[in-house]
Amino acid sequence: METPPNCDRGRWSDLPMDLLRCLLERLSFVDFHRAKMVCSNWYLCSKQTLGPKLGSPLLIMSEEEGSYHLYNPEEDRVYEAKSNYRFLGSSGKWFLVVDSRSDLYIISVFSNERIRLPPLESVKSSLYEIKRLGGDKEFNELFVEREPFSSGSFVATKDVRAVLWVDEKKGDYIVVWGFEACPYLRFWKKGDVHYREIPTRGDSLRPNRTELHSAPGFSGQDSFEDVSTIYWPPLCPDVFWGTRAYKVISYRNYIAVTTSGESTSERNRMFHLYKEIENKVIKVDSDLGDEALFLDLCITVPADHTLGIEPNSIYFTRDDRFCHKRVSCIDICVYNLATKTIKRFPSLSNFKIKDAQWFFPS
Amino acid sequence: MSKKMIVLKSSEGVSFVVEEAVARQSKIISFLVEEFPDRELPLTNMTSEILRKTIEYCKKHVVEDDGGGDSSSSSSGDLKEWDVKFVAEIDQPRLMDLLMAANYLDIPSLLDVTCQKVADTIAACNDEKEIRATFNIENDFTEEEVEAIRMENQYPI
Repeated sequence: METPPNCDRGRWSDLPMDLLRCLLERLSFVDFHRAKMVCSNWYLCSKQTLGPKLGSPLLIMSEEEGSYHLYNPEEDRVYEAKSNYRFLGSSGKWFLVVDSRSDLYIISVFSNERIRLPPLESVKSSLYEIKRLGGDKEFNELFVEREPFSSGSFVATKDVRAVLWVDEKKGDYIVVWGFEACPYLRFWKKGDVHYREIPTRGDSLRPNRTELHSAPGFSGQDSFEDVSTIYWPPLCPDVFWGTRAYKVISYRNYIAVTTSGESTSERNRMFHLYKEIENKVIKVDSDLGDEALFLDLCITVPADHTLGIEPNSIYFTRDDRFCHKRVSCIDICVYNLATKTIKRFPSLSNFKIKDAQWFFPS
Repeated sequence: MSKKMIVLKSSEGVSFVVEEAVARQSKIISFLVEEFPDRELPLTNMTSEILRKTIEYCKKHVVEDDGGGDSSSSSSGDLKEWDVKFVAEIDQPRLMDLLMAANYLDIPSLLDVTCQKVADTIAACNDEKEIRATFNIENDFTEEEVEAIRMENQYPI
């Protein structure tokens, strides 16, 4: 009863810490980071909270180079972003980004933790060398033992495709990247000072286990055994879908197939779900049960009503993220396997979205 | 048998006669009633206006315990709707007083709805400047400090 509340009228900055903490913890993470910039008391309090409310899927979308928006489907709300990074991938609260100087970073969403990766051209390879050209945006990829008149292939930072995998418990940070349409991928794990090369079949950013294990210094004994099993399963090369209207788009234990990836009418998009069981691909339609499949992240997540994660659903943005041979339209949707219905987000129709990706700020 | 009444007194000295069950939603009052039965309870940090509002909320939320066990005076759906209307009618300065009152008197459900109203108000702002303007908060950071926090916020969004 020390301070009569009347004296506090209009003095929200002096709100008691416990009350302020209670308030800040209710905010979504964008609001949380805004609120902590309001005044020094709020900032100090933000350091004593558990952090913002977490766990709902969010969508990060880029309109054009350098312009980002964040969409929270639960609030049906778009947040404007202020950075110039290009967003390549995410794993939990970690983002893999590339800056205007073509440097890769792994960045934490909630703190100033930042890991700078080696420059793109530092690849330990006996076959290819990468030369950085002027302007920091272009590179030349050359055979080491090249023919005298070979000019190599010119590639640009915008062609970089990458995936990030983070296991915070083990302290593993793994990045695989490659220039689109180049047959070699580069592999990096925390502590490496250069990238190592992984040969692939050349059309995807998903080396299979054999390919991954052929990378120099790669041992099946360490934790990457798990990574390759979880993250890069063989993508059923024996399956022939018969028609180009189909597109295989997924990961892990599931293989999802969409039927309108290249058609003009996205309204007809359908998903079929297959599962690889003992080297056989078996159709398991409408059987994600109480889980949601996030194709961009290659993960399934338990459905959670309070977090807005819908059961038996596929969260989808595009089907050509890792192999850009044919560019399809972005189609941000949630497909319900049981009802075969698609949910789209009308508030996004005003944006000219160039790329988008689902992620979990966990 | 008539219901037991207690008397709460605001900072202006105005007395409010309230059913004990209503007032006992406050854990503090509940404690005081047991410690000092049949005494008028002075709430010197609460204006009559805020005390009236608080009592109004408690009256609506009191759980009747006469015979039929736990039966709230309203269904939970109605109650939610009522809460929404209740906080919607409160302006900014009073919202803070009510928040402080809920906190002081220890009324968890009232604290919850008032906190949520503040959180919603923050969420409706587009940036930190708008939050400052809405809540009449002075920016007490130096430019260097702002820059440092911005660096900290260097997430790609």
